[in-house]
Amino acid sequence: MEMTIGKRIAALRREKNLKQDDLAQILEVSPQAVSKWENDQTCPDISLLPLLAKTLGISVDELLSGKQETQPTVTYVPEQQRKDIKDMMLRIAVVSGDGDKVRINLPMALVQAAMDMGLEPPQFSGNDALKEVDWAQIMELVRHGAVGNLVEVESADGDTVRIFVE
Amino acid sequence: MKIVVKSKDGPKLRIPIPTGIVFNRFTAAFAPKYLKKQGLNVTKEQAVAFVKALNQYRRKHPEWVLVEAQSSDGERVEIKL
Repeated sequence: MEMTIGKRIAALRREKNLKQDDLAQILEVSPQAVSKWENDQTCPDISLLPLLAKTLGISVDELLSGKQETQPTVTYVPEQQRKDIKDMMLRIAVVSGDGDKVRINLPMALVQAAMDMGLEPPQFSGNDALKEVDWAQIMELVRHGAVGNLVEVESADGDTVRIFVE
Repeated sequence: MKIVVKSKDGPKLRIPIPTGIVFNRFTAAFAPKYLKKQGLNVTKEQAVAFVKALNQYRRKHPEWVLVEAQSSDGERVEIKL
């Protein structure tokens, strides 16, 4: 099912850990206006789209069309500009061959704590495509400043798994 | 924790579960014994550190959605901690 612009705004706002009030303040509109957008009762004014898209971390085209999910390439962040690893998020997006989507948002602090305990994400995801992923290597990449789309795997049965860090 | 189920046309279902009862220092102290049965050797200190990290993150990011699932027919499930 194609996601509406309102649902897209709501999902991206939550990903950014913003409340409706926060987004309203950034865009200088009322929280009720944001609520109406997210419930598909109204659409944001065209003049607000660039700032709205920038705030949500996507392009205006992606915001309007929703055809392409954000697929950041891997970038190296210099040590001085890196976020604290405790504030970073590891996202696992699984799209099954028949169109079902699952997204797991794991704070890096928890991933680190789980790995210290000997747990690895596949043990709680159960997805076969994730079993081949070297989680220790991913942690190493992140510690050295790599962010973005770190892994993309397509399984034989058509599932696509993408792991990205932001 | 809140589990939200939204069907395409039907009503929303919200199931609130008090996460504090599940993830606290007390339950973390018992977790190693249970996890050992599952073949995982976890110390009490590690379990407490995990729960502490989880609770710190929850407080800092109250809008955090742990799992979002969307079926091809439009049903959505969200698990917020």
